[in-house]
Amino acid sequence: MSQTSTAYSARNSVLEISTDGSSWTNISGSSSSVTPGDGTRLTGTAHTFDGDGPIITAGKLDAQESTISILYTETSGEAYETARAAFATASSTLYVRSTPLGATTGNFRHTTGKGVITAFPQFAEIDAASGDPMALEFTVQHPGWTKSTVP
Amino acid sequence: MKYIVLQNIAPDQGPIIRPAGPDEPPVTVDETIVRGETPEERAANVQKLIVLGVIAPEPEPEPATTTTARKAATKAEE
Repeated sequence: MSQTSTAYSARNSVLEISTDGSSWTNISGSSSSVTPGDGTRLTGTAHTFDGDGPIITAGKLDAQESTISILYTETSGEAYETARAAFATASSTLYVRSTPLGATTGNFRHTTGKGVITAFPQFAEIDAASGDPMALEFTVQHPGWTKSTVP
Repeated sequence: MKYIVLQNIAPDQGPIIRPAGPDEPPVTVDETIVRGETPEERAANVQKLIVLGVIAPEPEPEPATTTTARKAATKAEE
């Protein structure tokens, strides 16, 4: 098979978050990475007297934990303030949406199911010896991702 | 013009638009959900989605004519 000519870097990626799965906030300008959960399926095994290997059964999809790295800013509408406000609600609900190749018609757009922010540091690590932008990482536990197309 | 949704669509705002199930009426959208600064750009993106199999043009409803009238029309064309 010939080598692909359609591999891309993440330079055009778009990352968005939402508290209702409908109204989306683009946090691409204040976030630096998203690591999707493993996407595992529950399984079970059993050995029988006959045969050598196990019988493996497939269960349902497991919950996933995705992590998002964002910059610490204090500007309303940017990643930190939007996600912190979502975490501060009683339900800590958050949907995450990633468009790896950019928001162009025909590209894939991956959206989580209704998730919960399970870990959110109140602020970034503060290190006087560092010249890096202050950043932090938060975790969202959610059902799987749904693949859609950018219209 | 309406288009039948064949695959999941995630508009810039709003929830995911999913295709209808096997026993449900088709889910349709119009071209306003498609990106494009100009009508020409939007039309090109509609075509792109059709080629990708994401949407399909909704068939035009047949004109309300009787079988007899249709047969007569066909005969006249012949």
